[in-house]
Amino acid sequence: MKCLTDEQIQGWIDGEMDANAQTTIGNHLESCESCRQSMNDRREQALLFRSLMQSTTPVVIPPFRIPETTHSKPNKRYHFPVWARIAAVLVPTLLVAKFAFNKPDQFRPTPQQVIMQEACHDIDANSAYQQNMMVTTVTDENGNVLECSAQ
Amino acid sequence: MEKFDNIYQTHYPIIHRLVSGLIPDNEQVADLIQEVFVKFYLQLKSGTDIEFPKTWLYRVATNDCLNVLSRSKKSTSLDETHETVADNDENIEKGIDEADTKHQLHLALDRMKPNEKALLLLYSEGLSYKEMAEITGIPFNSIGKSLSRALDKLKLILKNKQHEMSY
Repeated sequence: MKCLTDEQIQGWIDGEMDANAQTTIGNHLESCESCRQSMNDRREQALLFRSLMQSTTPVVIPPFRIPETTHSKPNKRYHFPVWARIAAVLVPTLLVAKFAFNKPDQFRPTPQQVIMQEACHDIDANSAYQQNMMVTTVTDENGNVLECSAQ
Repeated sequence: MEKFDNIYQTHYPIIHRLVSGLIPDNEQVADLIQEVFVKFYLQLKSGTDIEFPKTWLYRVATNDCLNVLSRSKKSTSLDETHETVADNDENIEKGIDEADTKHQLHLALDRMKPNEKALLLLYSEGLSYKEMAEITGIPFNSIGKSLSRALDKLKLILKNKQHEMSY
């Protein structure tokens, strides 16, 4: 058997091993001088540590103060008046209704806007001005031009 | 609440030993113990059945102490830390004659990490590995290793202290 680890020795000293391991380690300790020495050192240290840590000064136990929060007082923090409760329900409902069901007005163009849209929708901004010019002529019954304007 | 009174009277000294071992400030110690027992009181009052009150109290006290220590560590500046260490060193040098082994041991424990110190304090109380695992949250299989390492570290610190003092 290999030599024992610190963990194994510590567990053996503290009696924290199962019966089989306890026996195996005990047998090894009987046969291995260095592990036995290490175990003795550790046991001495552990005993010394525990004895030094034992406090001899008596502790004065103060009376237990029952916390105030445990008294059965009603918690007024969440007691709102009736009008506030109604408002708390109504206001968000109205806001939701306004934004959810009130759709914005649809765009309805005037006749002039429709004519302009139709006349201009195929204008190429890179072509010459004359090519995109709209000429309006007014003629009489005989076909004579009375008025001509270009835009 | 007769049950609570009994537990309070019997367990106050052991919780006091643990908390005062971890927290240096006496006033803070009293407040912390009170907090631990208030939590216990509220648990009992709410009807929760605590099967092992000692383990429960140890666990809550250890966690509360470690929380306090981690908070105070964050708020302590580097300069203050150096000052404390320097003061301790000065005390060691000044009080060679009056300092007994117990004092040296407590100084050495103060130099250890809070969780290692908590483990050693629980060990000094004679708790089993299973109880220590439940209280500290360290896996049961690792308790032996953690404990032997902590004891080795304590031994090393004490040895270094003796070495420092001999010069």
